[in-house]
Amino acid sequence: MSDTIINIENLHKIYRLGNFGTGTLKDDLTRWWLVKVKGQEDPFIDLSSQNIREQSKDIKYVKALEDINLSVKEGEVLGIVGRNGAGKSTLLKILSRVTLPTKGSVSGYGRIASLLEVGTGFHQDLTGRENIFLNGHILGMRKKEIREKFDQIVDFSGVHQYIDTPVKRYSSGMYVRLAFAVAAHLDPEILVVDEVLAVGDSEFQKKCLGKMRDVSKNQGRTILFVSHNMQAVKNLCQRVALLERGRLTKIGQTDAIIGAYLNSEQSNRLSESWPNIQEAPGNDAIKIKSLTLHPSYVEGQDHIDIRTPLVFNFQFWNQKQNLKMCIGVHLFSLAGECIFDVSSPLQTFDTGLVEGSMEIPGNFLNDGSYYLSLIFVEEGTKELYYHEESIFFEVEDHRTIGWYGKWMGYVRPSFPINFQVKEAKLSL
Amino acid sequence: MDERSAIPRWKIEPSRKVFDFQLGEFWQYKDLLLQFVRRDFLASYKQTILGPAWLVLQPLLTAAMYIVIFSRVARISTDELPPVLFYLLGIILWNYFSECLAACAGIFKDYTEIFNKVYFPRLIVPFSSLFSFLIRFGIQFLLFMVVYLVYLFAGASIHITWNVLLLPAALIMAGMFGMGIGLLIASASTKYRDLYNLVGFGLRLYMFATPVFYPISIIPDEYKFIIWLNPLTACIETFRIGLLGSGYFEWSFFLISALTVLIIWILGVIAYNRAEQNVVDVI
Repeated sequence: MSDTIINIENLHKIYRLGNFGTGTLKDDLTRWWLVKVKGQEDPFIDLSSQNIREQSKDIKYVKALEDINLSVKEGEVLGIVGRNGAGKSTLLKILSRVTLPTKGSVSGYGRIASLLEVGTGFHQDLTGRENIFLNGHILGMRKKEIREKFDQIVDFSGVHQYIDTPVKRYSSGMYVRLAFAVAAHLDPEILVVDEVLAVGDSEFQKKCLGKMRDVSKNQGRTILFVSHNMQAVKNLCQRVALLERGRLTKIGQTDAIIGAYLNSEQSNRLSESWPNIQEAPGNDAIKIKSLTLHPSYVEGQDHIDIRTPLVFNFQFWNQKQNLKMCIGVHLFSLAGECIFDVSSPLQTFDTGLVEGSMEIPGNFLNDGSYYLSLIFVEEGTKELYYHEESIFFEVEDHRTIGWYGKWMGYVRPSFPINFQVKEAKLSL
Repeated sequence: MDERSAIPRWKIEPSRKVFDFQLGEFWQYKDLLLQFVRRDFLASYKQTILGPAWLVLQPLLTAAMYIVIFSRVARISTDELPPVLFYLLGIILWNYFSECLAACAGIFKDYTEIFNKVYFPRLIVPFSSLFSFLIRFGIQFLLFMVVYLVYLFAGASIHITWNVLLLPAALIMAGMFGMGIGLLIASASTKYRDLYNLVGFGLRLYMFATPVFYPISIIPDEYKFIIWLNPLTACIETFRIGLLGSGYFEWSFFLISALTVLIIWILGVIAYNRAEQNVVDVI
C-alpha cells in the first residue's frame, strides 16, 4: 500500500464579500481585540450556518470550503469535480499555496507544481526561449534542470521554429502548448492541474492527457486534476472527489462519482436569478439579473426531450453608457465541448435593465446534458464579462423507430431525406 | 489508510509567524530572483530603438536640463563643483532610490496575476527589483566615472576623500530606504488602494527635500534640521564628499540615518510579509 502524500485536515476557507472599503478597520479592530487580546473564537467565522451562498444581506463572509478532510496517496490521480463555485479552485489554490486556509491544515511531502492557468508569468515581450527559463523558475525549477530539459520542452511544445520569437506573436495554441510543456517537464512529486485542457486543439489535448498519464503511471507522480471534461476525468483518474457547496460530499471510484455528479439534482437547473444588483454576479459594466430556460412542452409532457423547443431568456443590468457590444450564447455539452456559439449583432446599449431571448428550436439537440454560458463582448472584440455555466439541462431521447442504440452526434435535426425513384426496374 | 510513514515535509497553515520570512525557500528560489532581474532588463529594452542606451542618455539629458535651469537660470550654487558632475551624481542616486521605491510600492498591482496563480516566496520580487536597479545604477555610475575622469584630467577642482570607503554602505542605504518605504506603501495599499497613486506625486515632492540639485550649504541654518531628518541626504552627501571632495559628512548624522533606514527597511519587510499572505483574497 502506498503512502499518503497529501493529508488535508479540517480545512476551511472563508472569503469576505462585498465592499472592503467601509467598516474594515472597525471589523479588524474588533476581531483583533476578541481573538488576540481576549482569546475568543473569531466572531467572523460562523461555522454553524449551512448555506454558503444564502441570499441575505447580512452575510458578509462566504465559506468557500468547509471541513474538508482528504488524503491522497502517492502515485494516485485524483479527480476533483463539482459545479462552478463548489470550491474546487479554492482547494487547488490552497494546495498550491497561492492562498492560505482560514482554518485547518494541509500537510505532505514533495514538491508541488500547480498549473492553475498555463502561461503564468510569461512575459509578452520575451522570446519563447527566455520564457521557458522564466516560467520554469517561477514554477520552482533550477537552472540546471531547465537546461537539461530544454530540448524536450521545445519538442513537446512543437514551437521549434518560433523559439526565438517574442511570445506575444504566438498564436494562442502555441502559447498554451509551450506553457504546458514547461509545466509538464517539471517533475514534481505532486502536480495540481486546473482546467488546462479547456484550451488547445484536440490533438494537443490528447498529448497532454497522455503526458499526465505517463507522469502518474510510469513516474509514480501524484496528480490532482480538476476539469469539467468528464471524459478526461474518466480517462485519467482512479478516484474522484465530489465537491458541493464547499463540502466534500462524495469520494470514490471514478465511474460511480461521475454518475452521481451527473445525476445529482443540480444537473437540471433551468433558472437562476438575483434579487438586486448588489448581489448579482458580474462586474462594473454588466450585472446578471436572471437567466431562464423555458421549455415549450407539448401536451402532457413534463421533461425536455429532443422535440422540445426551448427559449432562453436573460436579463441583465448594463451600467455603462453607450455600450457597444454583442452578446453571445454558448451551449456546451456536459463534457465541455462547445456545441454552438451564437452571437447577437453589434448593438449599442444604454444603461438600464435589458432582456434578451433566444430560441433553440425543437428537433435540434440530441439527447444529453448541456449547459449554457453567456458572454458579453464589447465592440465585438473585448470580453466584458463571461457568465459561465449558468443553466444546466438534460434533453431526453424520443424516437419513433425501433432502434435502441445511442443516437450519434450532438445535434439531431430532422432534416427530411428525400427519395426519388430513378429507375422503376433494374434491368440486370 | 492514513498511515504516514514519511514525515511531512511541508505544512500549509492559516498564517505564518511575524518573523517567518521563509529564508530557506528564498534561497531555493535564488534562480528565480536572477531570472526576474534578467527579465526586467531584457523586457524594458525590447522594441526600443536605442535599447540600453537610454540608461545612459536619461541621466545625461536630465543633467543637461538641470544645468540650464538650476545652474544658469536659477543660479543655484553647486559648491564650486563642476555642475555636470554635481547633478549627474545626484540624479543617478536619486534614480536608484526612487525606482526602488516605486517598483516596490507597485508590487501588488504589477504582480497580482502571478500571485494569483503560482506560489514562490514573495520576498523574491522586491529583492529582484533592488538588484535590477542596482545594475542600472552600476551602468549609470560607469557613465559618471567616465565624465569624472575627463574632468579630473582636465584639472577640475575635485578630489577623492577617505569617505569614498563608505560609498557601498551609502548605496545600500539608498536602496534599502527605497525598498522599505515602497514595501510599507505596498502593504498599506492592499487596504487603501489610492495610496499607490500618491507615489509619483510624493516622490516629486520628496526630491525637493533631498539635495539632488542643490548643495546643503545653501540652506539657511534654521531649516537645516529638515534636511537632516532625511536619511537620503546622508547617502547623497557621502557620495559627494567621497568623490568630489565637497559635501557634508558627520559620523553621527551618517549612523543615525543608517539606523533609520534599517528600521524602516525591517518594518517594510515585516509588513510586506504579512500583507502578502492575504493579498490574493483582497485584490
